Formats: sequence, C-alpha cells, structure tokens
Amino acid sequence: MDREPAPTEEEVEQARALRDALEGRGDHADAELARALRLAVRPTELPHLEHQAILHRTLAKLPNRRRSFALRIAGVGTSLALAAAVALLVSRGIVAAPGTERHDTVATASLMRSRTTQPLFDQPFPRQGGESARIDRIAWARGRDYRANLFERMGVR
Amino acid sequence: MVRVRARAWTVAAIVVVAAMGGGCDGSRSAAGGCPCESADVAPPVDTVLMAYLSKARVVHHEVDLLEQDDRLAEAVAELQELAGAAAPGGGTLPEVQEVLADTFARLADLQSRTGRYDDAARSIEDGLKRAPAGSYFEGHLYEVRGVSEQRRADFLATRGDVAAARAAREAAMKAFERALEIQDQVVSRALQGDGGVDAR
Repeated sequence: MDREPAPTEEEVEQARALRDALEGRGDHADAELARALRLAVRPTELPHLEHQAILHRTLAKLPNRRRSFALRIAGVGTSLALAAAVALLVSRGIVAAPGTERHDTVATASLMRSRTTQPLFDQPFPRQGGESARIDRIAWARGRDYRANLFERMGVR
Repeated sequence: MVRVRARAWTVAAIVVVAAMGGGCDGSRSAAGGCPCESADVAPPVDTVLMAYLSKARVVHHEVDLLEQDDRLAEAVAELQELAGAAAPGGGTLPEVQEVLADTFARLADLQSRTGRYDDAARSIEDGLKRAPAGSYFEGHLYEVRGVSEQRRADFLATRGDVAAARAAREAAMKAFERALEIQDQVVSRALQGDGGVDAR
C-alpha cells in the first residue's frame, strides 16, 4: 500500500505562501495562475460601471449605422452569454435548478465523499487485534480526502 | 419592436443553451454518480467526520494500552463510550458504520475474555446491524462470535455442563463457517476487481 510521503518543510511553506497570496496577503509565483483557474471556473461579474465605460468607449468610435448593428450583435451576444452562464451554473450545481435540493454552497461535483472503507483492506482481518491499525488506515485515507476537499473548496487544485 | 425582438432572442437563447447543457455535466463523484442524478448523494468528507474518526482512533489506541496493562474492564468501558457517542450523519455514514462495527467486534472479544458471554453476544448483534453485508467487517464479527462461543463452551465444560457446552460449541462452529463463507466472498470479489484494493 503506497503511502503519501509527508510534506517537506519547503512544500508546507510554499503552500502557506500560496494560500496567503490568494487571500490578498503577499505574493506567490503561482498565485496568478491559481486565480486565473479559479476565475475560469467561477468568473466574477464585471462591475456595471466598468462595463458601461467599455461600451461607451467602443460605440463612440462607430458611425450611426454600424453602431446600430453593433448594438444588435452585442444584444445577441449578451443573451447567449447569459444563457451559457445559466447552463453552467445549473450544470455545475453552483445554483440549484428549480425542484432540486442543494447540499453545499460550492460546486461539489469533484469533492471526495463519504463511502465504504472496505477497499482500504485487501485481506480478512486477523482473528484478534489490529483494530488500531485499521482505524489508523481509515483516518489516514479520509484525512487525505479531507485535505483534497479543502483545496477544492478554496479553488486551488 | 427592437426591444421585443431582443427579449425574444434572450429567452430563446436561454432555452436552447440550457436544453443543450441538460443541467448535467456528466461528472462523476467519488460515490460513483453524477451529482445531478440524485439529491441524496453521500455528503463530502468533512471536518465532523474527521473529528469522529480521530476520536475513534484515540479510543482504540487507549484500549491498546489498557489491554497491555490487563485493565480489561476499563478497556470495555472506553469502547462502550465510543459505541454510544454521537456520530456524524446520525451514525449512518459508511465510515462511521464500519468503525462502529469494528468497535463492537473488539468490545465483544473483550467481554467474552472477561466471561461476559451474553454481553458479548449482544455486542456482536449490535455490530452486525452496522456492518455492510458481505464485508470483512461482517466476516470479522462472525469470527469473534465464534471465538466468544468457543470460550463459553470451554467455560461451561469446566463446570460440567456438558449439554450447554455442546450447544455453545455448535454455535461457535456455525459462526466460524459463516465467517469463512463471507471472507471467501469478499476475497473472490476483490480478486475479480469488484471488492477493490484501491487504497484511496
């Protein structure tokens, strides 16, 4: 049974620095990539004023006919983007579709779930003893799942 | 007119894209199913489950030490406390059920070692209510039942109660056979890849 080696001091330090950087404290070389990945999965909304300013800047440069055409294209594009966003939110479980229940406030598709521990054991238990070794193994395996879920919830893979 | 058309576009686009998405991305959870398929999917491994497993781990290691010091009555009390403690998910999570099944098996073994054969039999029953059918946990409980009945038979024999000793021996034999049957099934399934030896 291969065991995950304990993290080195350097790995622990790097993980701490990355977490701090993602929470706005300090910086880390991988923070930008992690943020980009997080935004790809859960994009944040563009502030309304910023959106307006971009539109004004772009439209002001266009003649009237082209502006009207651009407005239509923008309308269709916005509709499609909105529809895609709704489909994405519902399919990833970030918001519940009508008539469904939700267990969590984040997308839970890839979280490790409670399940039987039987696959952790590849032979029958000894007639006597071994209980502590078995609970050690169960706790270790689920500890690994727990850490994975923690990172998943933080948006870090 | 332009506004009406724009609204129609919006509604149509939402309907089409949502229908294409189908509300399901087809991803599989560790439990083996798409989370969209059912609302009663197993809960994620969380802090509460970890706390419970940690507690169970501590208790079993404490019981190791008590057993080494031959303080069996205290060991029994520790295991009884764990067995009766509040558990996450109302005690229905698979990990909790299996840890409890193993705890009851150990409790029964200690009880029979101290001559409390009826208590041991009750603990085995409690464990069997929690052990998944056809698992090592279930097989182990039958094995402990066999050992416990064998001890009872030996005890009764020393008292000269021949008939009761014979009945206990028969009960022991029956339990051992059942244990073997279950373990064979589990091993066969594991070898066929159905029981899984994935140490995730």
